[in-house]
Amino acid sequence: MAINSLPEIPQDLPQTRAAAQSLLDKLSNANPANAADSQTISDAIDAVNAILTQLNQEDMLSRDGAMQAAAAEIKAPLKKLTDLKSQLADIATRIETLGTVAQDVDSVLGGCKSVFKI
Amino acid sequence: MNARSVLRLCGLLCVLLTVGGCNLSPLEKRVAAFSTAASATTLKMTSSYALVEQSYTDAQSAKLVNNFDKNGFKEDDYQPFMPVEAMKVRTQLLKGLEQYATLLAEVTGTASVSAIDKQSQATGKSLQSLAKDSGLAAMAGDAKLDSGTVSSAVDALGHALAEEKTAKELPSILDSMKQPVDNICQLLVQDIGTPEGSGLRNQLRNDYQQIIADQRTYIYANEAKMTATEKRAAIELLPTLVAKEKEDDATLAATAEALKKLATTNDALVETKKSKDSPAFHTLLSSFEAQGQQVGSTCTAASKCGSCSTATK
Repeated sequence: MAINSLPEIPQDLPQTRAAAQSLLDKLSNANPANAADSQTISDAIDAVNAILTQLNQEDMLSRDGAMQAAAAEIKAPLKKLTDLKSQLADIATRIETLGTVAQDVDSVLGGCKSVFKI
Repeated sequence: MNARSVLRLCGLLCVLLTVGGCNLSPLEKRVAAFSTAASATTLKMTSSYALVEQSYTDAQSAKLVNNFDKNGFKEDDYQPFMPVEAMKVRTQLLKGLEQYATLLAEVTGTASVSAIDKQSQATGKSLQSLAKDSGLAAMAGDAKLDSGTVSSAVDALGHALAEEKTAKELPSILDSMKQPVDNICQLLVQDIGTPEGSGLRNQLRNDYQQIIADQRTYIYANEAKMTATEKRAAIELLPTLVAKEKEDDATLAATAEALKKLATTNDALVETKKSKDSPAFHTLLSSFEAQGQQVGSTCTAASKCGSCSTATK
């Protein structure tokens, strides 16, 4: 059914963090076989790592009541991940373990937009 | 009583006093044993943080070399695993625990007092400052702990170390330090975290994933220009990085486990302060001592692995 193929968008910070960590692990376990694919995956790992750092920062700041304090810093890695999405989807056609990577990217992007209200 | 008898009596009294001074109570013996184990282990813990930092620096150099053609080099690209200020907070906390163990040895009379007093007071004052430091609050936030509780614990330990203590105060020192020591150990344990969840072990895992991916990309991008020997060295670095990540993670895991055992052994020390025999305490102490050895052994294994830095160069 079509509704089942839609990515689940995390609604809060812990869910978004879990989605980002899962995406990072999936990217790290991929085994690209050429320079271009490897570069794309390295860049995506870099972006997801930066997103995780900002989510951790937001988590810490939110305990002191400073929500969305890290919003400015997350825009660049989110844009980078958005730009890489179609290339990752293409690589997923060659690397089975990447499977639903495009939906996973959507999940992280959607979660971040919800958490940071951007 | 003639002069000879007086001298003999004085001599006997001196012997009795000397023997009595060496004859520690069961609690004092337990405290002395705990103090020895805790001092040795906290020292190793401090080394373990430094070792992970050094190992990470070596690995990060590989990343910077690999990305140089694409990104060049900016100072901001070179980030330590733990910023200097963050490392300082952790080092101060471990120093506080080490000094607490030394304080216990001092009040049981198993350590020389004058030099320790100065050191204890200095550590106490630095902990009292740390209690108000934003770095400690940030660490508590990262560890998902209440910063007020953590700050109070550090301040209480600082006060205890800064004040002069006597042997009579041993039971009250143990009582008053139980909760602060528990809280400080819990902070350090949660700060270390787990590879899958959060904390330093998670950061280490994610950072190494990035470094390994970059190394693979470097090989693909440059293999056509490499000699067979250069390519072999570049490929060999991949499993070396994986091994290094595992060793660093094991070092942090062993440190966290030792901190848990330090807290439970200290708790048992407090709970058995009125007991003559306490086999449960001795079991916990043995387990703590064994874990302390484990921290030492993972540190030694990690420091022996020089192949990373060699391969990077």
